[in-house]
Amino acid sequence: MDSQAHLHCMENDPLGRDLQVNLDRIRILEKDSSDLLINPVTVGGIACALVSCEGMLATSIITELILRPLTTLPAQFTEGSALLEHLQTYRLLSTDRIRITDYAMLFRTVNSGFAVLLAEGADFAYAFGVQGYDRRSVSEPTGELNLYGAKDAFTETIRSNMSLIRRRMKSPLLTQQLIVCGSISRTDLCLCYLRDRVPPALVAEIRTKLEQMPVETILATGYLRPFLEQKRPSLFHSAGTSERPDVVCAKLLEGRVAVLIDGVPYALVIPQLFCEVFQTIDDYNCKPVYAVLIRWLKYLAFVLAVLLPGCYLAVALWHPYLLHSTLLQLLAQSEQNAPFSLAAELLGVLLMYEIIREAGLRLPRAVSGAVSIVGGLIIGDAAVSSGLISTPLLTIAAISVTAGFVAPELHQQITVLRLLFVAAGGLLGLTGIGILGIGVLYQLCATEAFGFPITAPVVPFSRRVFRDVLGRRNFRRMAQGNFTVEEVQMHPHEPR
Amino acid sequence: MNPVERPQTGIQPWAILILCRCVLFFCGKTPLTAVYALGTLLSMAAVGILLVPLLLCTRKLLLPCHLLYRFAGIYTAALLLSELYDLLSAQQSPNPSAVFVLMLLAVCYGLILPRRTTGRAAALLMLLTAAAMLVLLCSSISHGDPLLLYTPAPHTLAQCFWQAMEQNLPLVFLPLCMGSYPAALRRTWLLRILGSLPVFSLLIAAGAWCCGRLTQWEGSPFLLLIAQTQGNSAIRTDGFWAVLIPAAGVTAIVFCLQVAIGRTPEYLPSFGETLLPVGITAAIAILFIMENHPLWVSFVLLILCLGLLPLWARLHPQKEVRNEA
Repeated sequence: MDSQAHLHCMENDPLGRDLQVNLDRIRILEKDSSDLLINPVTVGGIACALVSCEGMLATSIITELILRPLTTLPAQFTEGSALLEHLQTYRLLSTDRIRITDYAMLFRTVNSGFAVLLAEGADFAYAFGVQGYDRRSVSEPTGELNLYGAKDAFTETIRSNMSLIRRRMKSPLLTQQLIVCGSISRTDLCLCYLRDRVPPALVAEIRTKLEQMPVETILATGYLRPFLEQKRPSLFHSAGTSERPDVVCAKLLEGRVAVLIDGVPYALVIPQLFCEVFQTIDDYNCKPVYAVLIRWLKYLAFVLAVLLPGCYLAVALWHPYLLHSTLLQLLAQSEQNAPFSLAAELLGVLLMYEIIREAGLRLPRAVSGAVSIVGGLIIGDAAVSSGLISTPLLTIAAISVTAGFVAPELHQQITVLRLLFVAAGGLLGLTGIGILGIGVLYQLCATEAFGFPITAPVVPFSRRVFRDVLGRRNFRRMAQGNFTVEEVQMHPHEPR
Repeated sequence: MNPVERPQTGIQPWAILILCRCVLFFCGKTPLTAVYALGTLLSMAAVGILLVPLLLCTRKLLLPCHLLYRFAGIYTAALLLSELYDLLSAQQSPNPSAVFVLMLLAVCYGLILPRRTTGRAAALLMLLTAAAMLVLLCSSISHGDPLLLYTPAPHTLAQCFWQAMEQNLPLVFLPLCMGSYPAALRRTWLLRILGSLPVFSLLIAAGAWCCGRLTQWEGSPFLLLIAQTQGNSAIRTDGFWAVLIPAAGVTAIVFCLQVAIGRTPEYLPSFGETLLPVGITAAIAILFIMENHPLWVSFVLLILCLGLLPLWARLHPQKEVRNEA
């Protein structure tokens, strides 16, 4: 433990003037690391060392831009600091140059694909950006597909993602600020926002929260979300994600803040309103009439996905008088030969679906197709024909599951709520569904992010934003005044 | 942004007051007759006369007024609880004790959340209720018979008036909801509330229009009205109201208890920690509520729950804020 603390202290030490001491410290800190490359070289008559990380830089670029100009420098320098200042002032070896003063910064740059030049007699170094690591090229989004919009999605490289946003918003008002988080991973995060649209307090608060996060590493958006969302447990997210740069740009225009994470092909958008889960970029590409129809279908689908199985169970078990005699007779006939109770059947079908879904999700694509066929067709067909499950019940479960696909971002919530409502409906009937429903509604109304309630613009009501919830006006009208999320911020007169 | 630029937020206090009024109407047992509709209309005038001076008073409320409001809050909450219990019993809901425990837990959950949550939930519920009421009004008029309006009523106009006045009780909380809103909004609220009240008279008249003969009906006449006016031939619309009424009831009770508490912890440590003692108390008390005196037992139960919340908050010292009202 002591040696670890000692290493941590050493890492924060400043660089010394003695090149050999600096190199020894680097070797101690990166002990046994095979990918650390230290190349001693004499540049301009001064003993130097080029430190880099194997596999992180492009050999051809470093040869052309760094090594060749350095080796051709005449031996005219008496001190290392003079040599480095000369390189900085008169030689444009790379467009991305950073002055290094301590070991922590040195390792962060080296492990980010920079080549660091240390010189004898200089208590600083220069890092040159010559990154050349393998990266996935920009490709189509996998989750947020669309018909008429752009076909590019974020990748794992933060710089590429920043450029994807910048290409769409060339205004200097777009700010992209890099910060480093994670005590071990030292992950680059990028805060993106439009200076004239975003509430300044929102940016300051997000930056403070990110800088104070006690995390060791950030490998996915889920590592950040708990720190950016409210502390009170909630089923619903108040920070959204998107893998589409066009969607993120649209959110930035509304005064939101996007957080890009190095190594993650998704951007976090803060705050996100609940109604936005039902909006897609295609809504703004097709005629408003069609967009409104589709949006209403999505709202209906969400209600069906969550409530339909629970209500069916409640009505069939406790309130059969609500059904017309013909319908009731039909249900009774189909349930007559089923060996299990209605609740057990429904829970079994829903759980089986989740198992099949999970199995198909984690398997290789070639096999997952087979799982769907076996699960969906063979098991489903066999269960119905053998009489284990009644056809109406399977129809209800299938409608509910299919309806849940219209809001993929709400899949987790829909799954949990569907099962809870089935339990409430089965045990307590429609009254149970009502009481559980108010609990969920309370949860939804209590979810906020940085003072932005996710139930806005319905409550608190905002007319200008609301016009994009129930309907979708055409762009001529929508463009008359861009709204910003500041409009839906918590009302000053709302009780705390 | 100041509230003058965004007056729409004023919909929340309106929604919560009207929602409380709606729940008491849904659970009411007075048969729907033309006399009852007239009594409700008269009560609207009385409420208007009562509310105008309350709304125009800009000075802060004195301590006795606060105490009076607290008592009124507890009383209304107990009344709502008792009426809901009666409604659930009349509907022959499955596992009524479990339903009641779940309802109390939902009330406790609502109490530990920030106060603004209740207003938002009420506004959303009122949207649903208003839409359903409109459908119900149209449907009942097309299904009914105007002659039924002249069916002799089993009660007098005075009885109906006082029944409607009791249902209007939650409206006296209007000054508490005002907070620091400007005077222009107060007038808007008063107009909104007074403008909403005739809907109840219309609903009662529609009920008399549809089921005026069934004046000896035991249970909620409102549910009878729904049962009489079917949405379509395959499924009745009672189901929606059976879901909506308990949900609206819980919200109304939470609001009344918030009025009664007056002071609420800003943030409690966690959902489970807070809910556990309240839930246990509620579960024990529920055994008593199974007796035949739901009103006074629910009084005791609510006072127990109210007493426990501040005690628990004191055990877990947190920053407390005084309610502006």
